[in-house]
Formats: sequence, structure tokens, C-alpha cells
Amino acid sequence: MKTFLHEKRRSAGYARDRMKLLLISERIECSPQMMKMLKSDLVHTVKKYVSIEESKVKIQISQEPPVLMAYIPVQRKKDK
Amino acid sequence: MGEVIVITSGKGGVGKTTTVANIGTGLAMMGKKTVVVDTDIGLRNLDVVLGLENRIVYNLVDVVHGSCRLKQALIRDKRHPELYLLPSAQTKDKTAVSPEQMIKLTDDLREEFDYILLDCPAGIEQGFKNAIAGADKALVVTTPEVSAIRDADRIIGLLEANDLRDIHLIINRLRPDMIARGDMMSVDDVTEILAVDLIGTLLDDEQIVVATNQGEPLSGRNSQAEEEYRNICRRLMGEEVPFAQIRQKKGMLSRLFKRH
Repeated sequence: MKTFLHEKRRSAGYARDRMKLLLISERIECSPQMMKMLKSDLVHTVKKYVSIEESKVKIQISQEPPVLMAYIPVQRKKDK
Repeated sequence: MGEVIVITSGKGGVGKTTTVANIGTGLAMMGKKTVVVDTDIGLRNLDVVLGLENRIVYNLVDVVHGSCRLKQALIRDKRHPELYLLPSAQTKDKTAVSPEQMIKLTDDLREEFDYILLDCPAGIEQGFKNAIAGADKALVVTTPEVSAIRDADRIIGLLEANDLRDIHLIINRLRPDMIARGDMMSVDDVTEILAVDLIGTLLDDEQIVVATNQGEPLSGRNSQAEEEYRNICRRLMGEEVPFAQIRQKKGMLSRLFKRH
């Protein structure tokens, strides 16, 4: 249990997270840098239509099958 | 008809040749007529690992170019009568063999042997393309390190692109002590990242170096590695063999002291 809780902070956890990210982007030929650009373009586009919570936006690509998922929380109307 | 299995990794130095030597010996000891083929043209090394370096007369390139008959180039291991080696050439011309010639060669070997194990060169060049051309199945060897894993993933992608989809993973040089303290990726981590079927897990074992020095595979040394190689052989033959839990050798007490 102790090992499990500490795992994230130790180097193996970093290695695993780096590899997951890197290999997924390599498999679809979209580098981590391009993913960043994709995210910022998405935010930019969606913002034209609705207000969103920009800091909470997440984009992710699942492994098998590869699916691009975007999590974009939208803000409620504030004038009530 | 024999089965052709290529052992590959992308990155060099992760243990391909040792794996070929030990699985080959294991299968032969289980009574399967097995040939191990060194496909690394120009860089011969499977022969020294097996301790057969002094018996080479002809090689793979001689066979492919018709300079000798296949049977003349095969070296029979006297310690394991069912084990044969087809050594690689030391010619500088790495394009001496084409994928079509390799397919012809493996097809000829299928007639004679139950298992044909191909030791693939590192990299993704011509030698890799040759080695995978005639294979039915691939064993990808990796270690729990980021460089080896990344290359293994690339190799898996290339195998699939070449319609070789029967792919199994061997994770080599695992260190239970490092995994326990979270400084080495575990078997589950690596298997999840690479998303292919696991067929073997090997500890970092100094007996491998000892055995290689002496030019004989691990057979009869009673190490974890020897047992796991035997398990890999049984899994290759279709048996369901459970994976041993990777555990530290040290007692609980010393682990507690180490951590604090």
C-alpha cells in the first residue's frame, strides 16, 4: 500500500506517464507540441460561441481504439 | 511444418541473442527439433553465445547464394542433439540477402524443423526487413527503460504494418528491488504501455553473463532465468503457464530499513 501511494512521486511513475503520452502521440503522428497547439485552437474556436472554463480544458487520446476526447467545461449564464 | 519465430527489439543490447540462445536450447531440450538463425549479416554473435564459434564452415549468405547446401551450413550442437545453428556471414555487404531470399530460406527450414528462431539485428534497416519477411510470429524483447520501450513500440508498429500480428512481449532485466521502491516500471506498466500480449518476464540475472562467458545457455543452472525461459518455451507450445510474481529476495525487515 505504501509503495502504491508513493509510486507517482518516484521515477517509475514519471517514466510511465511520459511513455504513455509519447507513444500515443507517436502512433497517431501528432507530437506533444502539436497536441498543445490543437488544444489551444480548440479553445479558441469554442470560445467564439460559448464561454468556457479555459483552465480546466483537457484533451486526451485513448489507446485502443485511438479516440480524441476533449473535456471543455462550459460556463453558465451569469445574469440571474 | 515448422513455425518461424523472429526475436526482435529495435534497440540493441536488450538481450535478443541471449533470448534466442536460451529459448532455442529450451525447445531442443523438450524434444523439438529447433534451428536458431543469426540474421545479422556482418555482425556475427549468436555462435559465441552458444559456444559454437569454432565449428563454422559455411554461413547464411553461402546458403542463400547457393555456394553450399543448407545441410552443410547447419551446425549441430553436440550437447543438445535437437539444436542447430545457422550462423551469419561476416561479409561487409549488408545487402547480400533480400527478403525474398529469406522467405525461401525459412520455407526450406520449415520442412526440416519444428521451430525456426530468427535472431534479428537491432535497428529497422534492411536486416530487420529480411528477418521479419518469413516469420509467422514475433517476440519483442524490451527492458523496463524508456529508450527500449519506445523502440519496442516502433517495432510493434512496423511488424503490424507488415501484417505480422502474432506479437508477444518479453520483458528482460527486471529488478524487483527497484520496482518495489518505485524506481523501475513494473511488468504491468510496460505491458499496459505497449499493449501486446506478454509471454515472458526475466529478472536481471548475473548467471546470464556467467553462462554467456562459458558459451553455454542456462540449461541446468537452476536459476530464475532458466525456469522462465523454460516457461516461455511451454507458452510457445500453447501451454497456459502462469507468470511468477516478481518478488524481492530480501526479507520484509531489510526492506523496511531501506525505506526509512
